[in-house]
Amino acid sequence: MSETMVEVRNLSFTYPNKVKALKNVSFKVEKGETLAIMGRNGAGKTTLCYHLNGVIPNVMLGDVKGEVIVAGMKTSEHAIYELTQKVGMLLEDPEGQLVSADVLGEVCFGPENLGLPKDEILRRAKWALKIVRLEGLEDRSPSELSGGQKQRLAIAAILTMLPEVLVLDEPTSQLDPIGTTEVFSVIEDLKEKHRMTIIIVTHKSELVAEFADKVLILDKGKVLAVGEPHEVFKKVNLLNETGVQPIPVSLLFKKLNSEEIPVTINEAKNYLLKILKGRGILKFDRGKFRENLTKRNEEPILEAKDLSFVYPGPPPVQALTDINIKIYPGEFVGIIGQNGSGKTTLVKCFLNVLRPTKGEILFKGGNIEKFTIAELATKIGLILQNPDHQLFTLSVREEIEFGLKNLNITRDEVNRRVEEALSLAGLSGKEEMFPFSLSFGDRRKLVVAAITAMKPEVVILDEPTTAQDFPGRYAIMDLAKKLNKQGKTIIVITHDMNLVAEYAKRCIVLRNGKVLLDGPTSRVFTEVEILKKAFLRPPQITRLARSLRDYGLYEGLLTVNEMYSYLKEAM
Amino acid sequence: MASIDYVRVDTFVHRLHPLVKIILLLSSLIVAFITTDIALLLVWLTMLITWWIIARINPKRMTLIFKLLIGTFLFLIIIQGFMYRYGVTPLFKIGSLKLWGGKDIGVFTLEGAIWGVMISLRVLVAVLTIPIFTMTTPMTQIAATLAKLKVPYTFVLMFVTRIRFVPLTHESWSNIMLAQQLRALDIKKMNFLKRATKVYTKSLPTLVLFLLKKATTLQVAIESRAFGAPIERTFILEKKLTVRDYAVITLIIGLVAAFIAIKVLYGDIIRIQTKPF
Repeated sequence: MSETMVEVRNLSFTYPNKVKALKNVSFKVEKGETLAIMGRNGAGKTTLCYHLNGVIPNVMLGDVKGEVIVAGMKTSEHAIYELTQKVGMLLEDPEGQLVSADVLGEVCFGPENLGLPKDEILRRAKWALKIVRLEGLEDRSPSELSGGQKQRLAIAAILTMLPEVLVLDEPTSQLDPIGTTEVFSVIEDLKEKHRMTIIIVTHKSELVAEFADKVLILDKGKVLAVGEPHEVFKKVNLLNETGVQPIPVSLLFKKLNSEEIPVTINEAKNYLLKILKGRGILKFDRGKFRENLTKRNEEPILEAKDLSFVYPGPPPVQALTDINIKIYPGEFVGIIGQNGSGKTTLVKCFLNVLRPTKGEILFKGGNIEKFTIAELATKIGLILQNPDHQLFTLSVREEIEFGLKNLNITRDEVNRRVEEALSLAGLSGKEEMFPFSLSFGDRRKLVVAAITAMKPEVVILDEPTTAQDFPGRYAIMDLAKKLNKQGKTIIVITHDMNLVAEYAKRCIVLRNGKVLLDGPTSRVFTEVEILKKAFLRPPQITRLARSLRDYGLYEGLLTVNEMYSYLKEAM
Repeated sequence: MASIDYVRVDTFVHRLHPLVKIILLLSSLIVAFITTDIALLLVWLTMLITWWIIARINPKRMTLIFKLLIGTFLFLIIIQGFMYRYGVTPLFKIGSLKLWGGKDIGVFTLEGAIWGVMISLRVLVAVLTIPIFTMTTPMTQIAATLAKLKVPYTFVLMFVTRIRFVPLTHESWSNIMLAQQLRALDIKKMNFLKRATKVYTKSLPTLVLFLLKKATTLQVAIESRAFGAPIERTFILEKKLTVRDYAVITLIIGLVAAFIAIKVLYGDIIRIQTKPF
């Protein structure tokens, strides 16, 4: 018999600043079920999570209507320390939630607060560290752990409270692919082996389809859909309207007007096989879909020659080794690889933020050695990962003017460029707003606008999609595409393979500070075995094409549109 | 960055009870506060450096401390050189303005400079002790010891998280500085005054907003793990004081007592003029 573990009844919540974050939300989660909460940034997902473990109303205030019952406890009637023993919560930021100086201290923090006997605390710590596979690292400082390890440690720290419900608020949004896989494998263990009830907020539709029992779509504080992944992910239009990324294979079949809409690769493969059966081997002009980067004779705009970089330490860390890369004017290049593979170090060398230990960087053939960062910034724009470190003024207009004022250009030219940048970033009408009052996505666009207003010839975006919802990811990449069309050279560092597939014509894969692959994106993604070494896997459509290559499908297909036109032509 | 976080190494200092290092820290503060004798301050500094060596603390951190403080030391020496009211041996003169019954603050005196050196040594004594405490003691042990000393746990947690926020603040500040250079602001070509007015003041709100956000996350994280429960807390990492710890405490307190005795009985070994001639 099923046992309801979480029940939310007609929950509405208004923040003290009158923002209505939740409107009449109701749903149930049974014991051992996994519910994925999805929706665009600002939909109310985190606010909902805060209700589940009593942070609202115990820590954060506001007007609450309705009820939340977790493991038989009404959250409004219990102190937060009582609720923490029933429901544990993992936050998005791997750094921000760790409080102790070592791994053991971190996992013991909660039970220590509960005044449990020492033996019991140590027994729980041992058990929790085993589950998250961090045994043997008890004495390590959390700062020495990787992003994935930090999140697993945060999970262990919650597990020692022996909760019955685990609430995970975007646990992998700041992690690289390997970190994401590590965290999800632990969550899967908790679900399968320990029958834990899990509520997870995430934007990763493909993972949700494989892993969740139920999906809840939240939009502007309202529940728009709840159901099994198959049921919900088939509603492609609803997903698009609510800022949830449709699963590429579902999107493909929707485009093909198929009655059956798959959500996993295996389903898609089986459905396609049904369609392809009896048609024999498909024969097409593969060259039509193959990106050929012809050898260019012109001078590269940016070049790394025998570039090596060592972080002095202690201990010294070899971050880049003998990198040789030529970037040509007008290219759109994606750089991929795990955290620590050298991606950010490489682009920092392009602007002298880090001075190469060996080798040189050339901009239009000239060594950049003698230039300061500020001088290079007028030629090469670098947009850093966190927009909140890059906003310093009181209004959107001033923010864009900030860089322009350092360029010795006339007031009229400043005004002209500000208007141009506002329009490009879609921020017209928001000129007088305080930058920090903009949404996260708009803050990111503002930084791009502020950098591109200086008219650099190369624009580098370092992880521009981290912690961003699906529409935000595409908005920022569309912006990059617009700049590329205007003739700018674009370099994007990202962990999102779908975005690389969709936008970058050329892809560079780094591993341990060395170039593992460099070539047309379609060709790079066919090198599955080499990509595995870098813990990367091609986008879903490419994997689907590869699984059907015996039927003549070209495995270098990258996007839904490519696959669609390929199949259309074939059938 | 060269932080003052705990470094895991097995040394005699690392094995000492945190209370011993708290006593060392307090003793250093007492010595810095009561001593005006350069000779005794140098003796104490030598002892501290010996602790650094035994604890195998990277000497680069000491170099960094000197680099960070050198400006302060020069400032102290220059200011005292001109302002020290009992200075009688002029070294050079830049003008003339008489205050305090005859002291000409346009004259840089030897006694003033020595007084400045003495104050700098006091600062150094206090500052060099901090890494001996924080870099050889895990934060969990510091927390347990402070709690044992009946320091309210809220203050203990504030202390622990403040230490954790040091590298975070440094990293955020560096990123903010970099972001401004990426908007063609040539900070490297600015003098300190220009940097302070044009760069640092504008960057502070960004840093504060960022840290506030981090602090909110931390608050949610710790409350979600029963922090503040009205239950007597357990500390799993409580250490017991050993004979070795008692011996070191006796040595430290003995040395402080000796300093006080020397001061009371004999006055300063290196005497600086502290009364008008």
